[in-house]
Amino acid sequence: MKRRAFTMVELMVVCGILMLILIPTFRIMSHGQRSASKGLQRNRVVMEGQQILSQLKMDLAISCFVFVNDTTQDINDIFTETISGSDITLSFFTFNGGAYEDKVIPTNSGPESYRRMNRVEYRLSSRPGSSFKKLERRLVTHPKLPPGPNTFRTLSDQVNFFEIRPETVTSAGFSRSFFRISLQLFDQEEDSGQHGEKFVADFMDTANPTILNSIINNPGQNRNWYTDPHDQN
Amino acid sequence: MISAFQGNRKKRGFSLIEVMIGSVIMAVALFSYFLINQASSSQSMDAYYEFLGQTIGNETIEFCHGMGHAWALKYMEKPDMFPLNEWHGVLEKPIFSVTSYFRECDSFERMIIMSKVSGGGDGILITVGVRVKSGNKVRAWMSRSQLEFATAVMEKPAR
Repeated sequence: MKRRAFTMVELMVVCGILMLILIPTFRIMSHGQRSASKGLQRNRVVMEGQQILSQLKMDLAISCFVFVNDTTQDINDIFTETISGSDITLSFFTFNGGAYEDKVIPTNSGPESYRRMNRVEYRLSSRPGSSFKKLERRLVTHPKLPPGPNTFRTLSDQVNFFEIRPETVTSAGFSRSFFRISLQLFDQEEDSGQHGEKFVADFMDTANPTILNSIINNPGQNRNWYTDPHDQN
Repeated sequence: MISAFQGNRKKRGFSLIEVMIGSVIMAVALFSYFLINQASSSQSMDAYYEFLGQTIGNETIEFCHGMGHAWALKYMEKPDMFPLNEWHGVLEKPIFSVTSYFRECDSFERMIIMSKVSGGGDGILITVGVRVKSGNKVRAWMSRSQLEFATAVMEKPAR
């Protein structure tokens, strides 16, 4: 009895068979890993979208006008849009629920106690040649109020589309204004290397601006909630 | 002593039984792996479409809150935007302008029910049901067949 080794042909056949088995198995596993990682990314994007909408709804619900006594207020007037290159900044005033003030200004229609409003800025910035945009939020405290903590925050750097649209609905003889928020987020980061496989998640929400509707529908009332236009700087 | 194997020594391959057992083990392993991946992908899509369904339901609730009790009372008598007590496509009877919705909303339908409630103040109970239209592909992704939302619009705030 003599020990014999494998021949080259036997080894090559074994290697060939192993390759035939391992290549498809590896492909299945890597595809599985990719789809599991995509699932995680999508869940993360859904959570990110929810957080952005929730923040926007809170800000828009307490949005308010800069009060000018003798003009009719319209929901379309609340936004100030600033365009700088490819960056767009949308800003509006928000009711400062916590800081009541004693300042009373006598007017023809009686004394008015103005509130100093904070300002919220949403900035959408993009880089040339990239479809990924960055959405940032900043709360600018009124200059005469004690400065708050640093409220600048990047909400997402995977934004494809962002819009806040004021809309007035009339039904059964009643008219109310709302904000429609549309947001599209990519489900992957820009440098993930998975170009051509981008999934865009759509989000939308509706914000009911309680204070604005009260002001629009009750002219002459709730004056104490308005902002003094001469007191913003 | 010569064993039976040594005595009848000849080259033999795998038997059919051995090959079948091997195939079954491999199939079970691969199938489990496939199922895990499928479940992961399905859950993420389920979360997304459930969120979409919730958005549509919340939109109706937010709208009714914004319009108020006096509107709801009148609307119950003569609905002019969306029908009450019947299923209707979200984009067929939209509350806001159609362009503010995105395409996937067309996969959903909703039913809005308004009913008067009393005791502790007059109010209107608003119930919103949201579900995927029958035969729509989104139904395969969503684990819950229907979402329910409810709110009450009161005539006066509680004292």
